[in-house]
Amino acid sequence: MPAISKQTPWQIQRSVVFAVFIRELKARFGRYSLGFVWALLEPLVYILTFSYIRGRFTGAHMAGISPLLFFASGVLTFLLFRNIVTTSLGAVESNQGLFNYQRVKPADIVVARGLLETLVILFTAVLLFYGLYVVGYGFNWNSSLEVIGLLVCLLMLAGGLGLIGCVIGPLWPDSKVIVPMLLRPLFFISGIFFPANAIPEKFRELALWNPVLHALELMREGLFADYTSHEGSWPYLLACSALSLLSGLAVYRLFRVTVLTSGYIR
Amino acid sequence: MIQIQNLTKSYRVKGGRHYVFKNVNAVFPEGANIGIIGPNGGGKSTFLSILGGIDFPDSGRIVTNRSFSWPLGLKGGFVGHLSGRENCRMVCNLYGVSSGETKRKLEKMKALSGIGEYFEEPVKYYSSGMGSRLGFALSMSFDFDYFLIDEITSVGDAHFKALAKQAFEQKAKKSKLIMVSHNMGDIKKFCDIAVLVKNGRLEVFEDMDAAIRAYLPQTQEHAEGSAEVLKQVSLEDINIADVQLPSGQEEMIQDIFDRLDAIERKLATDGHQITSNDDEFYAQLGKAYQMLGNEDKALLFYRKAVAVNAYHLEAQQKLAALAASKGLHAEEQAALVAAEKIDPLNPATLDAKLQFLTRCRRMKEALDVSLTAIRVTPRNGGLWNQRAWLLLALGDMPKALDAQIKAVRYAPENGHYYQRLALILSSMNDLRSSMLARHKAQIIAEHTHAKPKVPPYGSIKKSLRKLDDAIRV
Repeated sequence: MPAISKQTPWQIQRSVVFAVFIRELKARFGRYSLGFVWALLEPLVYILTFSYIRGRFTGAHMAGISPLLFFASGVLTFLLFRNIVTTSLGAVESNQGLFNYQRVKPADIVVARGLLETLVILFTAVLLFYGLYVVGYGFNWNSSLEVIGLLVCLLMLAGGLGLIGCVIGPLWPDSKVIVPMLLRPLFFISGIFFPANAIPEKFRELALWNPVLHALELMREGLFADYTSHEGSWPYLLACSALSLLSGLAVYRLFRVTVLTSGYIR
Repeated sequence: MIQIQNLTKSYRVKGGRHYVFKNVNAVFPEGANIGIIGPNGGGKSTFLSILGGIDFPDSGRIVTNRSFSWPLGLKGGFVGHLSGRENCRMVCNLYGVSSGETKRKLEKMKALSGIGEYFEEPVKYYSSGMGSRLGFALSMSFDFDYFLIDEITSVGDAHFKALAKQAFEQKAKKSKLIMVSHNMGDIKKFCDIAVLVKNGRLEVFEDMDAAIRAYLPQTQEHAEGSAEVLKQVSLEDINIADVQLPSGQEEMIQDIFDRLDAIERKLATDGHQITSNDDEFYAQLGKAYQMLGNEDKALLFYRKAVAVNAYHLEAQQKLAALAASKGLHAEEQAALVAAEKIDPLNPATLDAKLQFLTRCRRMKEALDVSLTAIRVTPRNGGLWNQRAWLLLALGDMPKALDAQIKAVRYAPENGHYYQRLALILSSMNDLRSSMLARHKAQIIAEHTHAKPKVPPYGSIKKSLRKLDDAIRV
């Protein structure tokens, strides 16, 4: 290890994110925690519920793919977005002890949590899609590049909001109730259980303001060769992601010191 | 070099801002261990946090190219549900220590902290002493230029303190200390220069004693001795011949006195050596004698303790109390001044000073001290009772009544306090309330069974065994 005063910012950043990542990993999947079960169970419950309802009414393919695959891809993509945003709200409070070490800053925790969330979702996705393949719901892979690009966009979109969340959370405690409340309707209008072109014409234009809907549409297009998105727009998603990240960085820069300073009243 | 430039730090309080520092400038010289002293709430810990980079000033900055440890305090930066080992590993990760190096460091931490198998247990099960010892061991395994320490030397036993000092000395070539402490003894022991944090200013003192003088209020004037007439009684006046001792107690006491004799014989031998700290040793011995009721011997050993280390707070306090009961006013006052120097806001010191002033009939001063003491421990019924007595003596009835009511409120189990309340009330012509208070005092007196106090012979014996082991002849 280089002397502490000689470490470069990059080295410090890497060590801190790694350390926080391990700590978060232990908190979620520790010895007595049911984290692993829950990580698999939550998407599975959604997928099976939707498929059951859907299957009883129509049973038909959705936009060219099986409803199971449709829901799986939608739920997992949405959960990645939602979890990064909501877990950032408590990032500072649940790690109070860590800020005793001067190199840990709120953003490190958002990054570490985002990294963990991404890995958990990817792991769940591999298990889930493999499981579906085994029981006969295989699919033709479309484009790895598009999937990777989409993950990057999604992380920018959620990460920017997460950076805002990690300073809003401690400065405005009510946000821990309000933000999840605002995200709940998003669950129903982001195209988890219907393709964008199934939205009635008069609402569609309004619904397409939601970047998460674009992300889900494009994700399905990237994953499944048989799925064609009519509405998903790369330029719009990219613009939203960039805007989110930039405003996240700006808000974080404005309030990062305030969050750690002992001079304000919570 | 550490340079503080235009540092301003404030807190939002009801109806405005409280400034801890306002445009403070200072330079700390290179290569010195720095002790930070000052009154409570003066901003010592805030300053340490700012140095450590975990709190931020409103404006101004600290210019330095040195690395600082995290502020090491009583509340360690540990995650409760992780074990000591996992926590320490996490901090190694934070500071980019390689995994092989981490393994080596972890074993060293386990040994230095002295918490044994608790190292593998979740930190939430630790006592506060164990937590801060682990925190200390953890930070000592890193090479910072400055270690920031907040009141930590006040925890831990003599053994740990010795280990801590040794660890510092090993580090002394490469690293320096910046420590906050109330205990001037520790500051003198560990630091080369002192920084006084007071009234929003930082003042650097190269001379320790000058710093301590600046910090403390003016020294005491000489006491006018108050003549106390002691009534002489002989053993025949009370009939104790037919008192039955509980079985085994006689042997126990005999055994303890045999041990004490053995220790004193060893001490009298030329070339004896005490392996633990001398001052602590003598203080322990004094304590044992005091518990057994031999005040002369206790006085003797407390004197020895403070002769070795004038900054032994407990020994000075005990010395003052014993000297008081022996009527040695000059010695009492000297010990009180010394104790005040070590920690001016220590409740026991304040109480002793209060008793002293009261005995000397210096009522006005005593009243001031009682106010200070009450500020430190506001819910102490005894202090309020004393204050009421002083106010009564000065003839300030309404204030005395107020103080006495507080005394009763904070110590409702004490019948005497009700009695004085009754007295004050009756002299203020509120006879009905006075009667009620007197009645209440009677009820309490009937319900309290005076329990005879027996010294803790078992623990005295145990500590004597340890002391005996500590002498090498």
